[in-house]
Amino acid sequence: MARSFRLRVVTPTKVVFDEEVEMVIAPGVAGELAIMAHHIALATALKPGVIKIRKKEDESFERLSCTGGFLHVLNNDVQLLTDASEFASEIDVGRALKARQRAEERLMHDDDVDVMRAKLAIQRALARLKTVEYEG
Amino acid sequence: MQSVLDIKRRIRSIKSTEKITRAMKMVAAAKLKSAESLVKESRPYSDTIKEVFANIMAHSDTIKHPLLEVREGNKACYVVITADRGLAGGFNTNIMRTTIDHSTKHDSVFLPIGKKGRDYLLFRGYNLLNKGYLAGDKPDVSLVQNVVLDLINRYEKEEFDIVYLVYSRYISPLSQVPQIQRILPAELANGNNIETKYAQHIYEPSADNLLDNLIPRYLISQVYKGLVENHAGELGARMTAMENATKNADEMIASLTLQYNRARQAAITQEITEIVGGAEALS
Repeated sequence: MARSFRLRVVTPTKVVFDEEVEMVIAPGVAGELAIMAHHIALATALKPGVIKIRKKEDESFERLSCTGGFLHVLNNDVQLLTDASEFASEIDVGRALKARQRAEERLMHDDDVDVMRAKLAIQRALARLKTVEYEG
Repeated sequence: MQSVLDIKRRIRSIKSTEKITRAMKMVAAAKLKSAESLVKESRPYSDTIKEVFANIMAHSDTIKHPLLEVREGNKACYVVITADRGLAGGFNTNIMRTTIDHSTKHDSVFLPIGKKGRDYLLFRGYNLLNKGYLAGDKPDVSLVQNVVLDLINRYEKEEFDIVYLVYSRYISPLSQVPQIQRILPAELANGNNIETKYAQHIYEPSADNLLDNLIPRYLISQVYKGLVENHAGELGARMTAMENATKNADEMIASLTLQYNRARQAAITQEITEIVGGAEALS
C-alpha cells in the first residue's frame, strides 16, 4: 500500500508546492494536525503558522509559512489553500520584523486603529519568523 | 486638390502616429504573455476553494450563515472592474454599459476598481461607495482582501442587500465578455459542474466555523479572478485595437502616397506644358 499522498499548497497567485509526500503537519485552528496517507476526508481552517512537509520517512521536514487558510483532504489528495506561503529560504526576515514592529506600534500609539487587522498582521509576521526559526 | 507639400506633411504625421500604435501593440503583446500565465496560475486556487465550498454545501442542508441568506431589500452594490487606461477599443465602455443597464433595476451604489470606470461613474454623477481603487499594473491580492473585507463589513451592517461583481471574462486576445456575477449573498458560480458525490467530511472545528473562514476567501478568490482576467483582457483588447490602428494607418499612408505621386506628376506635367508653350510662343 502506498505510503505517500499528493500534497498541493496553493495561494491565490500560484501553486507553491505540488508533490508526493509522506506526511504534512499543518497549523489547524483547533491545534496542529499531522496528515499521513489514507487520511479520512477532512476540511479544516488553518491559522497563521508553519507547515511542515516530509517527503520520505527518514528525511527532515521542509518548512513553509502559512498566513491562514484551509486544508482539504479527500481520497489521498490533500489541498492546502493559504493566503500566502513561502519556503523558509524565501522569507525576508527583515521585512517580517519590520511588519511586526509596525503593527505593534500601531496598536500602542493610535486610538482608532483597526485592532483586528493589526493583530492579524502580527500573527502573519510571527508565522514567517517561526518558519525560519528566528530567535528573539 | 491638395498641394504636394500638404500631402507630404500629412503622410509624415500619420507615420509618426503609426509608430506609436505599433509600439503600443508590441508592448501589450509582450505584457499579455505574463498576464495570461497569471490567469492560469490563479485558477487552481479558485477551483479548489469552489470545490471545498460545494462539498460543504452539498453535505449540510441545515447550514445557515448570514452571508448565504437572501434578503428582501433592493439596495445593490456593484463592484466594477475596469482598466486604468484607455486606448483599448471598446473594452472599458462595454463593461460600463453592461453595469449601468443592469443597475437600473436596483437602488445602486458603485465601487469601481480601475481608473476608467471611476471616471465614467464620477462624470455621470453616479453614487460611489468610496473613491474607488486603481487596478494597478499587476493584480494585487492584498487590495482585493481589503476590498472584500470592507464589503462584508458593510453588507453585515445592511448598507446593501446584494453585491454584484462586474468584470470582463478573458476568452482570447480578440474576445472579452462582460460578466455580472452575484457575490453576496454568496452562491456557487456554475455549481452544477462540480462533483459532490464524495463521502461525508469531518469538519474542524465545525461546518459553521469553517464557513466563516471559507466564504471571505471564496469571495476574495472570485474578485481576484475578476481582476486577473480584467488585466489580461485589457492587454488583449489593446493589442487588437492597436493592431487595427496600425493597419488603418498603413492603408492611409498607401493612399496618400498615391495621391502625392499623382500631384507631383501633375505638377511636372504642368511645368513641361508651360515651358513648351513658352518656347512655341518664341519661335
